Amino acid sequence: MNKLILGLLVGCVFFLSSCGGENKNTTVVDSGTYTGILQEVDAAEQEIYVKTANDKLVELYFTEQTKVLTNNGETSAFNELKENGKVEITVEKKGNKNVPISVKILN
Amino acid sequence: MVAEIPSIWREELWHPLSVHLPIATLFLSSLAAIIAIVVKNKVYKLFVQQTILAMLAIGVISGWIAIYTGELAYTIEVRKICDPEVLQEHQWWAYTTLIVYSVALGLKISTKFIAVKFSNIIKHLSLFLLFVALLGLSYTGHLGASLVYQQGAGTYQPSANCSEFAK
Repeated sequence: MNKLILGLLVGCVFFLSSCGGENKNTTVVDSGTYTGILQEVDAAEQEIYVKTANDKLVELYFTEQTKVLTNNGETSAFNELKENGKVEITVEKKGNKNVPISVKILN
Repeated sequence: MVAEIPSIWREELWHPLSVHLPIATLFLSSLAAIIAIVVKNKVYKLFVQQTILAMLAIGVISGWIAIYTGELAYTIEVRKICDPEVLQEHQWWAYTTLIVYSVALGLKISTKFIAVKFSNIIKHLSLFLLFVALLGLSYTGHLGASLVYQQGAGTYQPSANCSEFAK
């Protein structure tokens, strides 16, 4: 019976840890401008993940104030953002999150 | 200019409206499962067993509704709060806890259709899951409380002079 309980406990730990795949290992960076690659674009959540040049994964939830810009500075739209595309992001650090000010599409 | 009091029916408030029923019923199902261990009287034991099943069924169904309303609230609140990590952790624990409760419900129902020799093992297994899920439920609730009472998720901050409430 003790072995059964131990087995169940270990099984539950494995089950709980396997459920955690959704949460990515993201970093909150200082306010500033960074270049990086769009690793994921979630249109439904209006959310992007950017892998910066210094290998940090930044999660950004767009607000009404967030601007999407083309390479020559013209206003663009969220649906122009494509995965694996190169971007320049300007973010502000607020609490334990990054708020996107602008996302410039570089290619 | 006088600020306007926001609607009480705004989308992010469907979650607190729907989440308390599953919290109460799932908590009661786990509590009844623990009580069932010590109850010896056959009549009381039957009552407690039926309580577990009823509370678990109501809790799991209403729990998935609360998950849906939680997803709606997530989209709005993740942009407003200061530490979204707490919200993501709350979401993760909510899913995990409800999956465990759902499995426990499935096992409870399955005991009515399988051989007696297996039903004893399944009863022990579902009891174990109900205990583990109670810990998950408590931690999910703790994170939810942290979101509301420390970060103000879903809440409205009245103006300094409360002018919008003047009658």
